[in-house]
Amino acid sequence: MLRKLTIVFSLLLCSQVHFAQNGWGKEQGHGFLQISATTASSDRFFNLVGEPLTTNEYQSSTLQFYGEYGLAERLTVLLSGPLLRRQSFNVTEATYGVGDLRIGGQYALLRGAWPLSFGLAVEAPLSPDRQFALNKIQLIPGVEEGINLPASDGEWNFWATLALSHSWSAHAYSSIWAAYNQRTEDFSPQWAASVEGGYLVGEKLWIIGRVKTLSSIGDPVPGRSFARGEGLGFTSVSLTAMYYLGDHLRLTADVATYGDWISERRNLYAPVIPTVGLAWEW
Amino acid sequence: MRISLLLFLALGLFTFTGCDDDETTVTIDSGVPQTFVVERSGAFTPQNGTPTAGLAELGADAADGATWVHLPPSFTTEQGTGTVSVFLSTSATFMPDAANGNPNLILVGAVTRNGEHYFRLNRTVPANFTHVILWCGSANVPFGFAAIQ
Repeated sequence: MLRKLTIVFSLLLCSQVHFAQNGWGKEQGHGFLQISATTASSDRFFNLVGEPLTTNEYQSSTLQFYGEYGLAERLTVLLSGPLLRRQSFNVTEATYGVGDLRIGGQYALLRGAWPLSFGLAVEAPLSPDRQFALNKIQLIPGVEEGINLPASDGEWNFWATLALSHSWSAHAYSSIWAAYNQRTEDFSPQWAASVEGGYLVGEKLWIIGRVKTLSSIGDPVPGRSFARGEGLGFTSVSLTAMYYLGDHLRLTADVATYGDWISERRNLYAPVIPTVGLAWEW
Repeated sequence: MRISLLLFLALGLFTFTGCDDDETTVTIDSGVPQTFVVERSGAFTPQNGTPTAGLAELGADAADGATWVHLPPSFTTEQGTGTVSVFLSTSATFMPDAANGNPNLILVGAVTRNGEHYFRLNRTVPANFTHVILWCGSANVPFGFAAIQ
C-alpha cells in the first residue's frame, strides 16, 4: 500500500509545474519515471496587482519529464523539468525552449503512521531569459515588434520543503506540504503550500484531489516578462486520475484550474489546464 | 624639377585646403528636430502594474514645421516584455478600428528602451487627438497613457 501511495505522489508531482512532496519518499532501489504533456490557452490575464485583463490569446504547451529514485533507506533523489516548452500569442510566432531543470533530494525525518520528510531542490536555468516571439504582422518600419516569452526564468531557484502524510486506510490517504523558494537575480522569494487527499477505487484507479497555493513575498520588481514568474501568485485546485495499466505502466490524467481562494491570481494566465502522462515504475 | 616640386606642393596645399570645406559642413541628425517647440504635453499614468512614468510632448520643429512627439529623458515603461508601441489617440482607451482606417489612433512608433525618444510624424495632428498611449501590441495590453494639453 505504501508503494502504491508513493506512485500516486510521484504522478502528482508531474501534473503541475511545481513539485509536490510527500512524507514517504521512495523505497531504496525503486524508481519512477514519467513523461507528461499539457497544453492550454487563455485570453484572461491577471496582472501584478491581481486585476483581470482580456488580452490576445496566450498559448502554452509543455512536454515534461519527472523521475525519482530511492538512493538510500531514507533518501530519495528527484529530477524533473520541461523537455520542451512552446509559447505564443495568437498574433505572434512561437518560442521554443527547454526550461529549468530541477534537481533535489528528499530525506525521511520520521516514519510510521505520520511520515515526515524534508526536501531540498535547486532549479537550474537551461534557456536564456530573453526569447522574443515576433508579431506575425509588423507595423513599424525598422522595428521588430514582439514579446518576450522565455521558456526559462533565467535565474536559479532554491526550494526547501517540509511534507507530512498519513494513510487513513488501504484506500485513502492525505498529505500536506509547505515550501519556501529563494530566487536569485533580485527576483522575489516565494512560499507555497498544498493539501491533498486520494482514494483508491477498486484496485486500479486512484482519484486524487489537491488544493495548492503559491505567493510571492514582498513587492514585485517590475519590468520582467510574466513568463519569468516575478510577483506570481495563485491558488489552484486539481483532480487527478491514475490508472494501473499493468505491474509497471501507469496512465494519468489531470485537470487543474485557478482561483483566489487563498493567494490571489497575480501575473499569470489562469486557464483550465489538462495534462496526460505515462509512467513507468519499478 | 624645382618648379615641378613647387607646383606639386601648391597642388597639395590647394587640395588639403579644399578639405577644410568639411569644417563648414553641418551634419543634420534626421532623428531629432533642430528646434523642438512643445505645443501640448502631459504626464503618463501607468496601467497594469507597469513602471510607466515621465512626460509625453507633442510639438513642432521650428526649422521646418514638422510635427514631432517627444518623450523626455525621464520616460520609463515596462521593457522586459518586449516592444511597446506609441500611439496618439482620441481618448485614454485604445480603440482600434482597422476596417475604417483606425480613425481614433495615429501610430507614432515603438520604444524598446527607457529614456529620451523623438518621433517625427509625416502629418499634422488634429486637436481631437488628446492622448498618448503606450500599448503592448503582442498581448493587446495598455501600459499607460498621458493626456496632452
